[in-house]
Amino acid sequence: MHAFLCRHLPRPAANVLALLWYALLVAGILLCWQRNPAGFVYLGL
Amino acid sequence: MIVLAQAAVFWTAATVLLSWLLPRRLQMPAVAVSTCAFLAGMAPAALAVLAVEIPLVLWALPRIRRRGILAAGLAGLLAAALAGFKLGLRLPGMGALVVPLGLSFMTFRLIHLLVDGYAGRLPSCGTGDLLSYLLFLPPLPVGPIHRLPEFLADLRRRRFDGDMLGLGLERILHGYAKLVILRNLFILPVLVPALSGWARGTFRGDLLAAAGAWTDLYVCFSGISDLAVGYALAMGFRIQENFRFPFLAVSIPDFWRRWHMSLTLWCRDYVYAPVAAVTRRRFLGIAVAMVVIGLWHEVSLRYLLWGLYHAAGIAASHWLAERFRPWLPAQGRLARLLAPVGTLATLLFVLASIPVTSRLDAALRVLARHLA
Repeated sequence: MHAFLCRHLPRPAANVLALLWYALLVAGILLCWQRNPAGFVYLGL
Repeated sequence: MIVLAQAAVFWTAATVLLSWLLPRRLQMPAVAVSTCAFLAGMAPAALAVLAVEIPLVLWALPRIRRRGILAAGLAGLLAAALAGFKLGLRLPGMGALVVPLGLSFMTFRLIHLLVDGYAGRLPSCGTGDLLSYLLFLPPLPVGPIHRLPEFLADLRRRRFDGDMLGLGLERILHGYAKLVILRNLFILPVLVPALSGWARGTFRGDLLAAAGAWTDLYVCFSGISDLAVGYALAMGFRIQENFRFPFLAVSIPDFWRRWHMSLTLWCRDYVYAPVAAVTRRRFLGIAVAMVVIGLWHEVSLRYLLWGLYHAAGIAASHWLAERFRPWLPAQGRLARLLAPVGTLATLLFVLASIPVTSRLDAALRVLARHLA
């Protein structure tokens, strides 16, 4: 994501947007942990 | 069933730290020990099977050059062991066998070593390097199926690189977000029930349900692959990718070059190429390779038909491409206009694979009952 943003925006704006994106993802992951603290992934192979 | 719990994710993260913080000569041995400890805790059966298979292959590798019977015998033995687990065989004094964590992917890696060792294509390396390759934790549970030459090249030039670590951490975050946010909050509770609730029992309804199942499988499997690729990058290794926007493929062969690429490439090199070379029949090679992929998913008549369905699609796609090549432009405006048509046709063909083969399977079973 950071590399993609750097290709299309000035470096400082790309850094800020990438940080916001990561913060959003981390917040979403923490929220999901709170809702479902047990194991989370299964794949039948 | 493979279960990846949060403990596994944190264990791998701790292994990444170990791989940099220890003195250099201890880093990869520590990763291998950490992998064994992980298996001992999460899947002792997998560790027990690998404790037999890995030494056997390590013993054979120095002796295998141009000894076809040894290579074919051992590869057959490993494949038979995997098939035994897949079939759920019952052993005396034990219940039905269940595939241990990572055994499928380890079997593919071991067969890669045996076949390439026989053909003299493996770079020279010691037992320590081979163990580092085989007991490399990030791709061990569910792939990708990385290869020894690329792993050794990275191992030799491995230095701490902040940019690579950053790329790896970003990839881990994206994989994790796919699994816990996208899948757990949207795909499983919203998308899959919505798509499987329409026109139940009809072919159209089954097609929509298949769209939900394929989306779920893609998000789940590509998320796990992102974790594996990300952890490997954080440890200084670039491993084989598994997915490259498969639903944008413009033809069926293109779809299989984008979906679970490490398995498709493995089947191309170790199933399709030998069968096509021996029989001089390209389409037979495609059929056998796709049947192997189908049966790897599940040993059943339905997945045998699923493999043949995709093989027929690939063969038809190659035949059409060869027949109409003089009339179809490879580049330019017309090619750009035709690309979405190819994408839509490929998507429909892939989605239809589940309802079509389920119906064929049911019809064959009814026919067999009538004939019996």
